[in-house]
Amino acid sequence: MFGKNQNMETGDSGVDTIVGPSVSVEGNFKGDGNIIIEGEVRGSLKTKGYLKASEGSVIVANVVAADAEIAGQLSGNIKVKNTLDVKATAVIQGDIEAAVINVAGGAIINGNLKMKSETGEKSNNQEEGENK
Amino acid sequence: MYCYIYDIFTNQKKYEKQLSKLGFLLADLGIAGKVYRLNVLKNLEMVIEEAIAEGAKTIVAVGNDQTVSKVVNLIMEKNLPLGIIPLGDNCLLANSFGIKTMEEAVKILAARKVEWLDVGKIDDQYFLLAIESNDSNIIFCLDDYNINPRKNNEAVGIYNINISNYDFTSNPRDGRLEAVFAPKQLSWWQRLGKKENKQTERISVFPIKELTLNHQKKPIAINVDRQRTIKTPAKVEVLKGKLKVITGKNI
Repeated sequence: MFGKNQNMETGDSGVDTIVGPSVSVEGNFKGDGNIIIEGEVRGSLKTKGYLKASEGSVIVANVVAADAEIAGQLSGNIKVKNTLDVKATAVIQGDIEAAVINVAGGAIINGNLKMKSETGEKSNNQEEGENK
Repeated sequence: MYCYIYDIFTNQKKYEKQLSKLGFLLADLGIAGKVYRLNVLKNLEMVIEEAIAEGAKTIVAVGNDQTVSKVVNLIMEKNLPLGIIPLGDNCLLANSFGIKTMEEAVKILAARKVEWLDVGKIDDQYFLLAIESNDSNIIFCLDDYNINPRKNNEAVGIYNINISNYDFTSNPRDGRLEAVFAPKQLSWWQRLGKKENKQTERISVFPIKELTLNHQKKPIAINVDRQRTIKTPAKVEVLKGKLKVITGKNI
């Protein structure tokens, strides 16, 4: 209930939106700032800021962000303007487009990788399979 | 001219001493004005009309949260600054504006630091603090998406000023409200199964400007500013910088 003294650990500085584990968002979600996802998002997800999808998060959506860190499940394509960090617990079913991609050992990616740089476009259209 | 509106409950004998002290304090700081006492024959609407007709430049609500909330709903369109002098129980509104005691309130009125604050609107009513409910079946419908609570959610709220104990930032000057979903606390055996032994899960926070509150099953009453209720479905929006309030701190 509201009014109880709880330590929710949500004081993340610079975070505008937190999709916690007790909610599910359905539709075309658009944000200007930084977003943390710990719950569920279905539809599409766009932000001009940083996106962090924690372990336990479920995203069934096409995602667009300036920078992103994925540690949960993502079913859909992801387009990141700058850097995408794929953590060891991530499971991505979809195509990835980013300027820089860091993939941790243990992450699962099934989809195409496309990387863009200022000098041109590097394309790697091979299916990655499990990266263990 | 300062117009002091004393709520009807302040006519009780137990407030006599405090009100007489208030009169002295106001005179002492040179901000004594006209006093309007509500009674069974004189309601707030009549009093505010009368005060404005007599040239009121500042309306001061003397009473509790209910007093302030009623006054706000009547002066919203009048472009008059609101002052608050807390009296009686349940003075959360005054406290959230940095006004803890009657004595402090008088000093704050004299200092006259006026701020333009956002006001929330739910259907045709205004709110300064928050809308809250402990029902976990309320859906927030926005233009492009819906936010649905899951089974582990316990309470929802929309805040202009954070009066809860949840750790998030609200700013009543940014033209946004914060929609908050709070999950149930984990029991000790549930915590055993978690990697991190944390007592609570993270709340959800969405900055919003406008939404509709719906209930998954039936219309329910939701709490407005912790002192009145309104039924769902209800349209909620924020009105940026709509109310002038004399405050005692940077909220």
